[in-house]
Parts: sequence; C-alpha cells; structure tokens
Amino acid sequence: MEHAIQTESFVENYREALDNGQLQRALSNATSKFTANRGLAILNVGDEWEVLRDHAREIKEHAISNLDYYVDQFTSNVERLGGNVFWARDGEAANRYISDLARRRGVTLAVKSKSMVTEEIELNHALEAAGVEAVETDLGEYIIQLAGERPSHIIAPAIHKTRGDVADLFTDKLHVERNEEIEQMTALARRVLRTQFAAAGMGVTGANFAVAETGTIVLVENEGNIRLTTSLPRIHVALIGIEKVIPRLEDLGVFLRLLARSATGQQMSSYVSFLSGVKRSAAEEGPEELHVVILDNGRVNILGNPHLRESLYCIRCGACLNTCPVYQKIGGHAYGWIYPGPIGAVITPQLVGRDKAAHLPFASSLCGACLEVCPIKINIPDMLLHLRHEIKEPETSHGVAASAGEQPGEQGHRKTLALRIESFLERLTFKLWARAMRSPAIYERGAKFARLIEQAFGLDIPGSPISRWTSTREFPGLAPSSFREQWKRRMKAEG
Amino acid sequence: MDSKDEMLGRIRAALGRAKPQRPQPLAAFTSRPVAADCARLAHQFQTEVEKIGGHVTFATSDHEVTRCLEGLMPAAGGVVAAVSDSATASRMGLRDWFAGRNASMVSTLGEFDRSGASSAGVSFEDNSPAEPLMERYKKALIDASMGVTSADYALADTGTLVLVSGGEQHRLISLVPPVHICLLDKSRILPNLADLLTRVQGESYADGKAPLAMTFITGPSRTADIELTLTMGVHGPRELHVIIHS
Amino acid sequence: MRVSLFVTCIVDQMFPEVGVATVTLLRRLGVEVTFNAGQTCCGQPAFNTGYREEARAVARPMLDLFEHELESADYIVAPSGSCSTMIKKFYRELFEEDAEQLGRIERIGARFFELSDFLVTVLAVEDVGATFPGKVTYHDSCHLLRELGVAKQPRALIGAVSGVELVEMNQTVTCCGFGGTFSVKYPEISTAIGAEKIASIEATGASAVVACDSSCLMQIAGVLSRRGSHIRCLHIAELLASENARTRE
Repeated sequence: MEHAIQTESFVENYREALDNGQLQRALSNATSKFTANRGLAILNVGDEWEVLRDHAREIKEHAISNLDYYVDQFTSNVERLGGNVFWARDGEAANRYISDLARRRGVTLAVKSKSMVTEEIELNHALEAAGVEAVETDLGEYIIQLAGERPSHIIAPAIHKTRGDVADLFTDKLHVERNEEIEQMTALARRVLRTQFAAAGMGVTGANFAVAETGTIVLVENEGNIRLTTSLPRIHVALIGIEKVIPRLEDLGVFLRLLARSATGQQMSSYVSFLSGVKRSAAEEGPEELHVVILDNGRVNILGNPHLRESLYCIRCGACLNTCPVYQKIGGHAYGWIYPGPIGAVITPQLVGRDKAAHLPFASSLCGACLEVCPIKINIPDMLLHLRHEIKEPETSHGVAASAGEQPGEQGHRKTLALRIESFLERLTFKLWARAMRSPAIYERGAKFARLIEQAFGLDIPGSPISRWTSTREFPGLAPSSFREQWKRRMKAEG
Repeated sequence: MDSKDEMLGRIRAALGRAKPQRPQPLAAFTSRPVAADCARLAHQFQTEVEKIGGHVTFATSDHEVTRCLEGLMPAAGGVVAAVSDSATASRMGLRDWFAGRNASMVSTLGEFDRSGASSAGVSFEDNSPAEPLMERYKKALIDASMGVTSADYALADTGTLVLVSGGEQHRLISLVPPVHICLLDKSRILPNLADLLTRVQGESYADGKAPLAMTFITGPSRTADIELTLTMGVHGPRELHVIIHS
Repeated sequence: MRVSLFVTCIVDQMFPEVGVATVTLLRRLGVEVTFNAGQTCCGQPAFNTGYREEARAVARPMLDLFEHELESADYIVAPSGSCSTMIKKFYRELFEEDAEQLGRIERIGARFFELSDFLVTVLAVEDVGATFPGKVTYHDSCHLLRELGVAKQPRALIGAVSGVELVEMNQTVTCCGFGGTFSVKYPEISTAIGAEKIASIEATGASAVVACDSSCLMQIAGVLSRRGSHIRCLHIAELLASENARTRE
C-alpha cells in the first residue's frame, strides 16, 4: 500500500483530482447523500441535537483537560480485567510491540477492522515485514487494500471506485469470473474474508471510545467485521490514541446519539461492541488475550498547544468532510495523508510537521460550514487561522509545540529555494501593504500608482496573484475613480 | 521512569501541570424521563426495527413462538441451527423442536466444553481431541444457516437489541450464521439508551465488574461501500427476526 | 441619526459604485452620512494569511479612527459582511492578549453594523422605496451568515423591493469559493467551488444575483463573465438604491 506522506505535492494532487471526472461524480454523489441523510436524522432528533452537541463538547473538554487522569484510569482498569497495556510513544514503538507479539505467539495471519490510527503508523507494513499477513476486513478497506491505494473518505474509503473498478479488481486479485453485481461482489468478499476470520491468530482494531471508568473499549460499525475480528481470533490488539479516552460509560449516551447521525444519518450503527478484558474460562466467547496499545505519536504535542488542543475532540464522523466545499471538489487523496477534509487540514500539519503540510491550512475558504456541522462544535476555522499564523509567524505565535520531527527554526531548511523565495516575497508584500495601510497618504498614493501601472502594463503580471486569478476568472481591475475621490469631489457637501 | 509514568508525565506537562490532580466532577447529563408503557415501547421497537430491514413478530405463547419459527424454516429443509443456551430456549424446548424438524444442530459452546472430543452435533474431518474448544465451536458455527438467541434488553427508540455476555452464550450465534432469530421478552424493552446505560451500570458494570462483551444489534449487517449502494449481510447476519414474547 | 461610513478598501478601489449607492440609500432614508478619509483597511487580508503582526499594525489606527468617529456618529456602517465580521469578531482574536484593546473592540463592535443588518435591525426599515423588475436570487456570504447571523435582513429588504421576485437558489448557504487569499493561492479549487455556485444561480432563472459582500460578487462575476453569462451581480446597496427608485413621501 502506498504509504508515503504526499502532503507536499498538494497542488499536483488536487489538480489531478479536479481533472478526474469519475472522482468528481463520486464525490458529489457521496457528499450530497451523506449530507442529506445527516440532515434528516437531525430533524428527527429536533431540539435535542444542539443540547447533545453542547454536552458532547463539555465531556470532551473535561476528558482532554484531565487526560492524564483518565488515561491512567482506563489502562489500570484494562489491566485489572486481564488485559495488557503497552505505552507507545510513537508508531515505531507500537509496530515493534505488535510485531513482536505476533512473532512470539506464532501468528501468521491477522485480521483488521477499519482503523485510521493503524494506517497512521503503517502497521500493516510492519506486520508484513514481520511475516504476518494483515487482511483488512471492512469491505471498503478490503477493496482499497487489494488495489494498493489509500482511503479517500473517513466513512466510505472506496467511494472513488465504481462497481466496474471493483469488479476488475476482484477478477484480477481473487481470480474469479468478472461480475459487476454489487450483491454478488459483496457475497464474494464475505466468503473470502470468512476464511480469514476463522484462520487468523490475531484481530487488530482501533477504538471509537475508551471508557476510563470501566476499562471498556467501544467499537462502532455497520458490517459486523469488527465483531468477528474481536471474537474469533485468540488475541485482540486494540491500538488507541490517547485522545479516545472518555470518562464514563454514561457518556456513550451522548456520543452514540451523535456519531451515526452525523456520519451517515443512521439513528444507530448496526453494531456497537463494548469490550472489557479477556475471558476467564475456556467456555466464554471472546479472545484469550487483550493487548491495548496506548499511542502518543504526536498527540501530546497537540495537547500542549492550547489553540489547537480541541482538534483532539474529534470523533471521526466525517461530517466536516461531507460539507466542505473544498473536500467536495478535491476528495481525500489530495490531502496526501490519512486524515482528509477540514479536520485533516488541522491535525495533519501537527502530526507530520507544519512545513511538510504547509498547504493544508491555507487550502480553505474559511466558510465555517465544518464548524456548523461538527457534533462536538470543534472550531476548525479558528484552528486553521491559528495554524496559518504559526506557519507564517513562528517566532511570535504562542504555544507552538514542536511537531513530530520538527525543531523550531529548522522549518526553513526543508523548503526548496523556490518556496523560500515565494515565502520571502509574500512576507515582504504584506510588510509593504501594512506600511501603506497604516498611512492614508501612502495608501492613496499607492492606489494612484497602481492605476498608472494598470493603464501602462495591466495588472495581470505573470506569476502575480492577479494572474492566478485571471487564469480561471475575469478580473474587473481597479475602478477609474475611487470612492474617496468621488466623495471628495461631489458627495461630501450633500451631507 | 517506566513508559507509563513517562507518558503520563508528558501529558501532564502538556496540560501545564506539575502534579497529578483529581478532576472536578463532570456533570451528569440526565435525559428526559420517558413514560415506559410496555405496549407502546414494543410497538415503537417494532416500527424502528422494520424501518431498517429487520422483522418483528409478536407471540403471546410458547406455541406461537414455535409457529413463528416454523414460518422461518426454508421449505427445502437442510437447516443447520445453532440455538443458544438461553433460559427461554430451554424452557420452550427449542433445541428439541428444531431437531424434530430434521434440522442439524450445532452444539453450544457449553456442550463442546462438556463433551470434550465427542461429536454431539456436526462433525468435521479435523475434529481431533487436542483441538481447542473454541476452534471446534467456531468451525461448527460457520456452517450454521440459522442462529437463535435471546436478548437481555432492547431499546425502543432505535430498534436496538442488547446482548450482555456472562450468562447466555449468544455472542457468536448472533453473528456468524446468516440468519439471526432473537427471542425478546417484552418486559425487557427499555425506552432509550440512557435508560439502558443507567441500568447496566447498576448491574453488569457495578462494583468494578464488566461483561466481556455487551453488544448492540440494530438491524441486519449492512454496507454501502461500493457506489454507496446498500447491501445487507456483508459480515454479520443478512436477516434479523425478532420474536417478542410475553 | 448620523452614520460614519466604513467603505472598505475593496469597495473604495474596485467597486466605488457600491459605496456611492450606500451613501445615496442612507441619505434617502434620512440618515446623515460622514466619511473619514483617514480610513484604509480592516486588516483582514493579513490576518487571514497568518500575518497577525501586520494585521495589528493596520488595525490599531483603524480602531483609533472608529473610536473617534463614534464620538460624533451614532453608528459605523459598512457595506461588507466580511469586514464587519473582522471588526466585530476577529479583532478579539487579533488582540486576544491586550485587555485595553479588547475593551475598545467591544464598545466599537456594539455600534458597528453591516449595511443590511443596520437597515433592518437599527433603522427598522424594510421597504426603502426601491424598484427593480425581475427575478433575483440571493447569495449568503459565509461570514455574514455564520459569524454575524445575518440572513433574514437582506431577504426582507430584497423582498420589499417593488417589482422584484426573490427566488432562493439551492445551496444558497454554500461558499462562493472566494476565501480571500485562498482565491489566488488555489485558483482552480476556488473556481471549481465557484462553478457550483454559478450552477445554483443559473438554475433559478434569475437575471441577477444579489449579495452583501463585494468580494463574493467579484468571485461570482469573475466566473460568470468567463462563461459569457449575462446574469448581473448586484451588491444589495446597488439594488436598494436603484435608479428608478420611487422617492419617499
């Protein structure tokens, strides 16, 4: 699977996406469907929706601001119930632990549920290197695993593929007769994956929520592959980002009413599993071993930035993606990493490095639709503005924790010369702009000067911002006579 | 400093704290109390389950239950039934009922456990005594065409069945076979999730206990991963039949 | 009633007719209008692009000017939702560590209004005596809608224009794709979003699209013109001050 971080080629990525007619149609179809269904589900809940959002936000604020306490409580309970806990500072540590575990237990086949965090650390890669075949069991993830691609949407990873694409893929990889019937293809996947479920020595999942009070892992799904992954194999490995921990069992009463509605418009997902500990006798149904891997991998840094901390409140519903006019046009792959859309634009720079993912916070019109739909009222536009500030003025922005692999001051060295020149020119432009705007006299003279340039050469200078505008739209140019000139000439007196 | 203390220490530092501190209590969010009229709840539950592709029938006697089951048996026969060790199934004599209809029976996990290597039920080539209990049970279950369990609770407002592990062994029978038949006692239908969570908090999750698995089942298994076209039965059961008995 | 006009830099230099229309309209409604030529820009371009130092450098003299104006004017009115949002909302963030400025910002913000909001909420006027025959549709600018909560006011004003038929487009609340420097940093995405907006506009059959922000109108007009469309892009001030307006009794 293609795992390189491709955030730096954002411009190429999105241009490719915009040119892809099939992708455009798929995105339009998917996002409008999800948005419409979400709308209906919320109407169904009525006034309670806003109350739930407020409650959810309160719970997350409390949980995150007391994260040490709750992570401690969760892991202690897991251990008390017979589970093992491994503290992974980064993906490498987590991968090593899980691979070693598989090796020690003689596991050669692992089944996996859809888990973004396992993709974040490239677990499948590590398992393969350790001689463990890791099979994705969520249908969408299975499809893209066969295709060697990345998910394009948080909830529906393979929405960029047509049934024809999937039929071709199955024919090619599973050596079956070509069949485009969706029911048949689904039945085929079910058959193939059942043998994997039965034979796998290990099941790997993430977690939607980790309940501190009871040491319970909560997993939400529609297909049933998570239930199979966590009940058939002898070993269950749960990779859990620290931010997934919530205080109490009763808090699920809030989150479960929000999550499915926000994601797909369902009142409740088909299956919710509340898993605690391991079986104590041979005749119980469940895994013999539970390994909870608690993962940092840059989350503690996010925690340390008060302006960006609330990006940890996300419950991965995908509503912000569906409503974002940018995502609707460029799709998930363009964002270049695991987390796309508005929330991806906020957490990716923090996890892979601001300099590497510098485009993402700027590739937004700041329309605010994401905040409007977020079930936890996460202020994404605000955080995008903060990231922009941190990227442009690293010296003066506060609370900037060094993100993974990035030391303060090192940022400049990684940029190419062209980018550094562009950066410098932009900074210079704004400095000059500020100088002009601070002084009405300079402002007026500058405006007159600009009109002269426009008359002589036009403003459409190649490489200038205006030429970038005119590459796709008409530009009106400066008005022959500004408002203030007209005011002075004839409007002042009419007061 | 071990890795736990190290991570907790860094989390504290990120939060601007030098020492651990007990959180301020978090408000309890009480939901509106809902009138729990049994008949109304059952009706609401039925409406919700049917909205999402499940089927619900009501039975006022054991005889009516078996009549429902009769209706679900395929005309061609060849049923391989997995019936859980629920009190309800025992009381109604369902295993015998199925056996009497020429269905092959999958032994329960308990039966596999007790019988050791003996083949009470479906037999397989690789049925060696050394094979672990769960492996034998899993293999037998994979060929089942129908699974029958009861539910511990149900949520009326979302049409959700709640299965709590620890008593009945219904975790796999409700998941592996393509058809799931669930016997639901009418009095176990609760208005909503908040109610359920309060209840289990006082029972199954009280005093530091926790069931190995509490499972919510809302309708059949589904996916829309290919072209957003809804398809049932991808990994879990394709059909869900709830028989509400009183 | 005396109002000091904050005309906004984009209107000043690129769409002065919007400023002229605003003044004409307010005067017709009996409001005294002054214009302090010391004004330049609210600082939003720098703030949006991450240059807060520069934005503050520009915002400080503007706050001085606004404070000064409010000594003799009752309100400050701007024909722009995004600039009004900058002053009323984002200035708080820009000066989040400066308690003194925050106090000023609160006081100024309370008397600072976007034009349509001013007309309906403060002047309690909906029928301004304008005439405009034809079908128009209205585009909700993002900041005006989501930050300032202004949506009913422009619609009430448009609806009261004699001869007008207001048709709501699908996706009326969807962004036009401008987003400040976003429009030139990622022009293809910006235009692709704009194209969706244009499709919604064209589907209404309207001969004109009205909005309260010149930046949105510049984006929409830019895409429309490139396609050779004849749909007019009107700022609400222009619609309400329209030439064949009836004079008030």
